[in-house]
Amino acid sequence: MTIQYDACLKCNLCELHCPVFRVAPAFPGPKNGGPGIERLRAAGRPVDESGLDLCLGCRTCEVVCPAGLSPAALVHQPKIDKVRRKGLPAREWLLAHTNLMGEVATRLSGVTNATLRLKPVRIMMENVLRIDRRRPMPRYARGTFRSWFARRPSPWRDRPAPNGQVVYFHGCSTNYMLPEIGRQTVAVLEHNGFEVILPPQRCCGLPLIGNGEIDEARNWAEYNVSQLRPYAEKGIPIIFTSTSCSLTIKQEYSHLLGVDGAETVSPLCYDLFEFLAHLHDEGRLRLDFRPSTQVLPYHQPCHQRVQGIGTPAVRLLRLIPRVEAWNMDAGCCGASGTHGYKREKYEISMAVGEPLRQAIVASGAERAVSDCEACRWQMEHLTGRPAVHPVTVLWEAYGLG
Amino acid sequence: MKKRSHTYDVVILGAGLSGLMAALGARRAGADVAIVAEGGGALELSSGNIDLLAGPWDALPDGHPYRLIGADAVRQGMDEFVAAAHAMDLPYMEDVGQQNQWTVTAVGGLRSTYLPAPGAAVVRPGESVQVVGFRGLREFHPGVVAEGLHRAMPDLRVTWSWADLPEGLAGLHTLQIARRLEEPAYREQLATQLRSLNTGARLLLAGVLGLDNAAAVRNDLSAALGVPVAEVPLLSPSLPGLRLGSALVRHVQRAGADLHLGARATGATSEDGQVTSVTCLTAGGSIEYRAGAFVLATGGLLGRGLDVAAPSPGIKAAPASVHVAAPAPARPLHEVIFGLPVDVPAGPLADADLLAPGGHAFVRAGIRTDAHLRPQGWTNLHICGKMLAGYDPYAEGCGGGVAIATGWRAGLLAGGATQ
Repeated sequence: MTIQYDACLKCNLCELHCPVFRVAPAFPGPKNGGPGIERLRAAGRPVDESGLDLCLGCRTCEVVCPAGLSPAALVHQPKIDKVRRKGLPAREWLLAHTNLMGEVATRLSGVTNATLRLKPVRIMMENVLRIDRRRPMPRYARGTFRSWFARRPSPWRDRPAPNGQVVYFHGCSTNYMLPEIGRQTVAVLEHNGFEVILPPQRCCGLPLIGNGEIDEARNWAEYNVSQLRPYAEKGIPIIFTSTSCSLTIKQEYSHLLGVDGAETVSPLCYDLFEFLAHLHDEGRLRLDFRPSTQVLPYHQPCHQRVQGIGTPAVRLLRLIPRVEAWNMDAGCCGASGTHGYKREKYEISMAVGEPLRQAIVASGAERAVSDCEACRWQMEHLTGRPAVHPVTVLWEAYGLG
Repeated sequence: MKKRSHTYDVVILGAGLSGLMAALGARRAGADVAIVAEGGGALELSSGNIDLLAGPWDALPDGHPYRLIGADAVRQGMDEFVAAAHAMDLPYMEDVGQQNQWTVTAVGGLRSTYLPAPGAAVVRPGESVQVVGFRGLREFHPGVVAEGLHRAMPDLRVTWSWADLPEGLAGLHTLQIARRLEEPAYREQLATQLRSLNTGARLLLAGVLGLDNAAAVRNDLSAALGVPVAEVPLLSPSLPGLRLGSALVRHVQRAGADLHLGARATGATSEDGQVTSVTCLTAGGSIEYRAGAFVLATGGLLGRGLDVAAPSPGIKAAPASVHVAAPAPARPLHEVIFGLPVDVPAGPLADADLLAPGGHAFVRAGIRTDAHLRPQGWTNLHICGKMLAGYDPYAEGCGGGVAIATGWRAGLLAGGATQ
């Protein structure tokens, strides 16, 4: 990474496309904050790292960089160094431990959800933790996805699934907050003749990585790799419905965290729609969709875009007769996982999302689509209109509801 | 499902102006299309003006891309571009009589172009204009622009003045000011500031007038001030290029093409001159793209579709696994994906004079093709834009036109529509 800055030609494309730079003058931007600072540091000069924390980690700079750099990784490094020296602050600790929070909250979801909607509670959270009161908290589900899955009988209990097995990495949000996404995913995969396996799993670690705590993230990553590796070695695909989880396990486990065995797991990791698009290419996807006249503006999560797999959800949604789906390409939604909850970042998060808000409103559609839960929550908060996972649309079109 | 792969009718390599036009052409032909690119194109770094041709058609050398595809195809491509741009709320206007127009540069020079970016300052002899800069915007001095204009077009009546940006935004970056001007309330404040300067002459403002909603910013200011308002683009990267690039990328996706960014093409497989697949490296590993036809729009030397010698270690930043084993180059330039032969003019690659009137030889380097834009011996591979040999976008003033017309043509051909 130390040689990265040398390839930067200062062409400014990253600055031009950065969603934060244009709305937050305090942010030095990917060019100056990334290779620029790195160059000074390498020369032994004192560097000003203020404002770097405003980076959303959307990695747009990495996508557009013609020199193949990752300015975002350079911008993020000082935060990792700082957390290593000083540890995670309380707020960041709370926001980053999504699975621990989820375990507690889903047991008492009614109480948790009600409490998190009380104004005095939000004011206290804002004053003590600097978690912005205007940001709606996600609602915890009554029971986890895993408990539902464990209770249900598999349709393949007495015969092998015609298309074999797939592993499902559901992630924290599906397990604790949006179990219906998991149920719909299982239904769609089983409808296409797959048996779904659900190995034990922890948070992928992205919230920790985003907040700079990569050592703990590595522990979780090692656990997940130990669980996923045996399936990967048998060539069983691993399916994701959260694009940040898939990016983390596909790429960061080996590139950033250097987890042993990650390179065995990575080639078998597929976003659900990437997987379904492959099935379609091979002529194996069931196309028994009910026609449905729907306008579906799609927002591609930044963490899917950087994977270089195109927009497979749009491809698949277009297979449903009479559906009009397209990628709005209106930039980052601004939420960026846990960033949008932070008091000092709320306004930036909303300003970043403004072009997306305009694009959704201009489409006139009743609901918008995105694969990432954090994007969907932000889209709903921006527009007041529902946003759904593409699997929900597919599940409806298959008539599985 | 051992290898990650995608199958399309047409795969376009490169997401610059030419690749995006190819995507529109292939969609028009009814094909299922993917655009695959490592990063964005260079469109965002351009002026947003579209050149067609500076000199007479008859002076074009043999083998020039315009001669290959013919004047009708050039016309068709330009018409499609203008139509697409209008659909994106970017009203590119041809001048009546098909003449080039004079646009004002950041230092008050005049530059001839066929289609000025919408809202770009275009001047005609004999008229009156007032150049306005914003205090604290470091990239733009209205006095310099006025003096330059005075020299370049002596019978233009030019005055200049400074204005203050509302809310003390002096010192902000161009993008940040442009972003604020998207807010109607903020541009109302700016109109109030500008009203006192109004002499009735057309206003040429520093080029910060909005991002995606630039037409609204311009129209509101013009209406509030009662005089037409135009923009002088700032030094690169300037906003008109960004506006065109962002809008076109959205437009091609709305037209049904899939955009795959972050995918760097490293190699290809072929059988008997027919490309069967192209391999790309992405954050998640290698992906194979299969298609019935491919379009190569990787932008020549500047787009890294052509490369000189082997990458020097320590300079390139990509991880070691991403490096392509470059063959020892017998020629000075090589094409990086298919290993196509690169046509390089004889003699020295570059002229010692940076602004040599005839241009530099390396600029004309590229791939030679037939009228269907295919290199010799290849059946389903079409070349467009700066990958083509035999033209100099700078000396001939034809960069935008070649990108658009050959891109559109290559897309149509790859999609199976030959007319």
